[in-house]
Amino acid sequence: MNVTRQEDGKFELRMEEEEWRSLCHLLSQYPLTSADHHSLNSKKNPDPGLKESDQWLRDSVSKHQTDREVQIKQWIQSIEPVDNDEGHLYPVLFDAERADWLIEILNDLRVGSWMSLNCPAPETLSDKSPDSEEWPRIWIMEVSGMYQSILLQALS
Amino acid sequence: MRFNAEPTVMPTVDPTTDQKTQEDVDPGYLVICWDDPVNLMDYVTHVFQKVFGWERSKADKHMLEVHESGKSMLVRESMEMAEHYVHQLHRYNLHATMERSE
Repeated sequence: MNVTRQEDGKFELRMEEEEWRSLCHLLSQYPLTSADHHSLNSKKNPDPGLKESDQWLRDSVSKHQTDREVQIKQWIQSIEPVDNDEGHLYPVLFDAERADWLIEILNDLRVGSWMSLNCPAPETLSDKSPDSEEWPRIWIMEVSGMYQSILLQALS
Repeated sequence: MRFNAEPTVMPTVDPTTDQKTQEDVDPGYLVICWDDPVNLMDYVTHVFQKVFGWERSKADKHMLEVHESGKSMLVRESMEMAEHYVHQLHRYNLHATMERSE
């Protein structure tokens, strides 16, 4: 997998079939964070006047996630493979706006999987002996972070 | 059959419905971003640039403050705008809150 910048300013992420399938599998897990944990109120000094705003925020995040789910399905269907000597390649073209969209979705997956692991310090993950339930969550967290880094690096 | 050019019932404007309260416009709310161990540092910088339209250097400065001090006060705004910014930050899954400034 490599990212190249094109003359029109867009980026191309060229993926092997297995890489593309793995990205699709990852994105199909969205969303992993729950809208219920969002709060704009400070835990230490809660402002009673913001209670209604909290519910508004949760509704807004929930609606945003529903919209994103639809967009993800449409985006995956829009990517057409091209053939080369070694098989199918998936050239994923994106501009800065699309990259931002993907980075935000990947972050939901990273944060959501981290929360489902009870919010461990990332440096302690390597000391862990994960069980069969934890392995897929750690995979999602790490692979989402890897894709985020690739996209953020391309943007900068 | 009557043909009226003007409607028989005219809409009335309630002068109280479209007025913002003093609280809505006072820049008396702070937007604060809190540290967490999972969001990538480059990601936090990226989000600050997107949400506030900041230059990379300013976004980096606030990201480092979050990382090193546990939180950063990002902007002081009206209640309406502070809510708007907190909503944006939450959509990106950053832990942001708003509180009345002293």
